[in-house]
Amino acid sequence: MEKAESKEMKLREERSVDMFSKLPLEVTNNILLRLPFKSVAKGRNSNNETALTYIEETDENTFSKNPVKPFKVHDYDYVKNTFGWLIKIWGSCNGFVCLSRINLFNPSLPENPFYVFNPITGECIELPHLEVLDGEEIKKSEKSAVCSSGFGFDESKQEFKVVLVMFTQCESDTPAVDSEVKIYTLGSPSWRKKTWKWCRFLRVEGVKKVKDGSKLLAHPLVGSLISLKSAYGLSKRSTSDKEKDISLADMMFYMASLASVHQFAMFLYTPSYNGSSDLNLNSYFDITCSDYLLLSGLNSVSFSGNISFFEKNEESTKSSGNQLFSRLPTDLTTDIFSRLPSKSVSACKCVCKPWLHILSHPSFSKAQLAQLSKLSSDILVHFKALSPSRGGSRIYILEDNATIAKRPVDPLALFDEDYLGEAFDDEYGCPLILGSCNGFICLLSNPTTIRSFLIDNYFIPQSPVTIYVFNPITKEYSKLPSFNVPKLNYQDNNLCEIDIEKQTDRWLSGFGYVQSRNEMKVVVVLLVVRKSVPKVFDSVVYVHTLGSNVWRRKVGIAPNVLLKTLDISPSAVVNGSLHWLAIDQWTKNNGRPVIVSFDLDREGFGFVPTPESKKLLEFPYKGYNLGVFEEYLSVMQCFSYPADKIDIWVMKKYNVEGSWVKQFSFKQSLASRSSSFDTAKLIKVRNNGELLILCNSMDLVSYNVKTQKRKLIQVGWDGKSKSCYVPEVHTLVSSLISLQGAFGMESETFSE
Amino acid sequence: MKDSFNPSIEPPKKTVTLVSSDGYDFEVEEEVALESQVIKDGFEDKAVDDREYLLFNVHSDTLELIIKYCEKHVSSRKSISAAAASSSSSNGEEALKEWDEHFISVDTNTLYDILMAADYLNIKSLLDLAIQKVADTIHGRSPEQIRKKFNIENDSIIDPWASE
Repeated sequence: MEKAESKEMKLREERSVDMFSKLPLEVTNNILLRLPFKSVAKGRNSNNETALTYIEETDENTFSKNPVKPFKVHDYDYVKNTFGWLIKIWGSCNGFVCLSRINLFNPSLPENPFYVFNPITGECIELPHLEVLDGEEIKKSEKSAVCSSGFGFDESKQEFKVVLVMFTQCESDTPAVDSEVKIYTLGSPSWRKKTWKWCRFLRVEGVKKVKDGSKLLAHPLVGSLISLKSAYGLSKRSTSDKEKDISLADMMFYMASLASVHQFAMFLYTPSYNGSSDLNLNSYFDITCSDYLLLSGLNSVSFSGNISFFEKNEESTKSSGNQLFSRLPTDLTTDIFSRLPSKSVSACKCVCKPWLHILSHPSFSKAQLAQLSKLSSDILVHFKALSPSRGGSRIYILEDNATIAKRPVDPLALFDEDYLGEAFDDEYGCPLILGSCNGFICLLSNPTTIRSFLIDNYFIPQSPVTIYVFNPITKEYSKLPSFNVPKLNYQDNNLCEIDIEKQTDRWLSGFGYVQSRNEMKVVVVLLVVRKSVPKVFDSVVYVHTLGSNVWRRKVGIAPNVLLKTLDISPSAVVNGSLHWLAIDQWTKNNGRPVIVSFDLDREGFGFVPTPESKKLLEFPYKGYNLGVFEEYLSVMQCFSYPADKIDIWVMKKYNVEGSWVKQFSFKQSLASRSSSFDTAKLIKVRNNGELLILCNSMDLVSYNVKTQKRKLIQVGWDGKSKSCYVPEVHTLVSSLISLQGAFGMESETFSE
Repeated sequence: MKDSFNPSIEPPKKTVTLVSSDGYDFEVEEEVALESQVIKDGFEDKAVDDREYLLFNVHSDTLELIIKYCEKHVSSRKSISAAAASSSSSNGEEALKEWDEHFISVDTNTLYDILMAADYLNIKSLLDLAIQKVADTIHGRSPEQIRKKFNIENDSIIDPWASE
């Protein structure tokens, strides 16, 4: 028995030693082709069969060095000897680069011949002659000509194509533009011609100026070891080369899978037009930290020699300990980190360099954006001093834990009026918070010229309107494009003056996240009513998607009931929609509270049913407030007469009237130190189960329903002054997401 | 022997052979193997008599766990849907969650193996479970503790958060 077992063991051992070299070639290829080139060194063993091995994860340190040590540099001589001087890269795709010389007379025109080049292997093929480019012809016809071109891979047909669009224009004539499209499919014998009536430039090259006026062009490049010659049979191969080729189909599979593999940047550096040009991979420029990741793992790889296949296989599949987690694939690590709150994220940044690189990369910001709503939120308190002599305001970020009960509170971050004034260019250091979402807060600078400290509800901000998006943890902020408050459909022109008596203008705004598109949007609603007979309503909605540079405009879609709402910013953002509580004064339902929603995805308004309750309809609207209970929309009803009560209603199923449930009902006097008050807002259910309630815009209270005990959270002037108020309390998921990384926005960081 | 005389009503379950990186064969039911998106994708293309999958990246110890996980999920999914059909209330989903919780409570090396195998085999629910487990493990630990937990060498020369 024992013997048989040991025999079996032995068999297994033997098998494991040699098993991979005995695998069918197609299987090994299939697996190995999924790897980025840097993990695969291609060589030949004595049997003339493809042999590959894993190369150890490369040292990330190389990439944090400045200047960067490039993986490979093709210097001036190489470029000149291979292609000629003055070259232009027309495109980079799946490890290949398409380039050509450029016309001396017209640098925007290419010149024959075209090359397709693999910078890693150095392999280069010449494309067939393209007649249209013969310079003389262009000169003869005295046309000005421009050329756009591209190089790409068609996955469905598994073909590489070079596309060239020529625009020619007769100089003296009418501005008629001819365009001609030339397409070359790799492997085919000649260029094909297509006429196209569409005559616009296909592509504008992103040219980055470097200090000395020279140009730097950057293209992404997937490093690969694909051989054009073997993949397409593009030129004769030397007969001595008996290498067994990987089939074309495998190649294509490799290419398709490469799209998900690391890309790295390739730079073409042209110091000046009559100087030399170097074709570099990762040239000597300052590259920001986030770019390092693109360059990660590039160390030279030996391409030849007898490398035995899967040498380290046993070790790598059965993990034996060291350094495992720092070597996880980037996408997995990104996924893990995206589920962590900001404190843990910053801890991870210190753990090791590969992690730091991953966490600094823009793709991490994007991944985290999608996960943030699942994390527990912190509390943002905007505090204002009541007496004008104290002037300003403070924004506190409080962690939702025991620290908020301390006196004075121990905030995670604190911004005083000096900071807010300087960073957001606000005259009084008291910007208005329009909303808080996914770790960012949206601020309106200089909300109004007439400073009213208590009546913020009715105002139109002065033009131009300047809105900022701000991450209070990283202190990174970005200014959105400004816009002017338009003159709405008015006949009289005295709109600039704000006269509350004569007209009712409303400014509403919100800030939210669209899960399906991974986008964030800022919404501004302007409403105007002219008190003439008949009454005239008008409304404009502005929507800005973070990362874009425009405000999109929609006229007349806002419902009139929004003229009378409790808050400027929506009281609740649930289910991808902003919600305002409004009073319906205009229809037969006189004075009835309604919930107006704005769907951030389809950008339209709607109504959400209110709790079906007689009592809810009997009392004046002031006692109601919207809030968020866990992830549900909730209505808080608060009144001191005829009963001393606070009711909290929760809509368990979004937009289903019958799903409203009265979750809590307790005595108002238990929640607040004030004997009576008329507004209460449910901010959130705290992590410990207590309710965080803002009473009368004064007291922030953490109330335990079971024990009926309350804790007053004292923010503000060292807890001494009582003449202050808290106009806004929001929840905020603190994050280290960078605006630049997640949305590509230009941003600044202001520090004192 | 007796059983073989009674023709079973159910047809014999189709099986698939999974081969681990160290060469062990695992015979599993077809639907269990199909929990892996990778196997599912390639399944139709394979001939019926050639349903063997070589899993180069999965060691037998890990594969055993993975199969255990898939079997549990297939069977509990059945019982949950059966309970739903007979409209009897069941806490099957919660029980499964608890089971998952217990399943993933392993040492970090095993966790790493499961993570890599789930990624390789593309088993979404298991990958999600493993990723969440790692995230939970990191949560609330200091950098030094994280390094210790995951056995990561400190290569930070400059601590970017040292000032804080």
